[in-house]
Amino acid sequence: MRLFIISVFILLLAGIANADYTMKSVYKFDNVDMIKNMDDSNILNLTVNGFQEDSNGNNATSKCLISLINSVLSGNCQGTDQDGDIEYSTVERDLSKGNVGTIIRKGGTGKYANKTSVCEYTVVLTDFKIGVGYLTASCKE
Amino acid sequence: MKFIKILLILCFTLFYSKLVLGEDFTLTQSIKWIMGSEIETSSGKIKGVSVEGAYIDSRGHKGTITCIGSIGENFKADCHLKDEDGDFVYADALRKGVDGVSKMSGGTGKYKNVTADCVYQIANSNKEASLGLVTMQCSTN
Repeated sequence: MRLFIISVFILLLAGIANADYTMKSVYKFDNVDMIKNMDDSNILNLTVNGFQEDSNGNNATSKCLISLINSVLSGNCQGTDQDGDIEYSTVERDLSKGNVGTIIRKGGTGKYANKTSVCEYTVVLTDFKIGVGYLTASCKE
Repeated sequence: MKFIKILLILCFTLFYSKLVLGEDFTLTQSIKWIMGSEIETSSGKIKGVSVEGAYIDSRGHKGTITCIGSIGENFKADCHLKDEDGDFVYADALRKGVDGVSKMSGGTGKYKNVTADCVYQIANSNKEASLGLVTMQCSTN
């Protein structure tokens, strides 16, 4: 019984120290451009403009510069929240493996200074032709 | 005998609730919009707006949504939704503030003669990016 209570207490403490949060983001694709690679595959560049809201009560407008090469999407993002604090992050997803990818916050200014996080995101809906999407993410700081 | 009676009551309840309440489903839409020109009318100034987006519903369908409408005191629009099979749903939308109503009035293919009454909310929007997240709850008639 004592062991059980101690385990619960440790788990609770670990949960507080390593706070989880969720995030959702609505976005659109701009400046889509494409060239061919040597192997006839497509190289795509685009800007993703969006806004996001997290379960910590922050909402931010974000801009990502994205490349898509051999079905691997990668890029860098900058988001500015309601307090003017900026977060810098990277995004990566292998489109051939489905709709799940990773967003990694590298740091930022204000409340994001020296605060990193890793989010696993799921693209809930998207339409490339119209150029919009919606994703949800589960993050660990 | 008691078991059969309970089963009959259960079947009747399910059948009755389906008949009276109709089939309920929800939609999630990621939308973007472009504002058009403005005119003066007898009820004030109105602006044209065209909306495009992607949607997914709880029945397992997904596709695109296109609306053409106007914003004055209210937002009014006529829309169509095109699903993954190319079937259309015809709908209208009327909104004041963040909550609105929409009526689905038939369509093509599997939506022919299917009507539904819906309520919807702008769950999230960003005027700067002209982007929004819409959640909708519908009941078929």
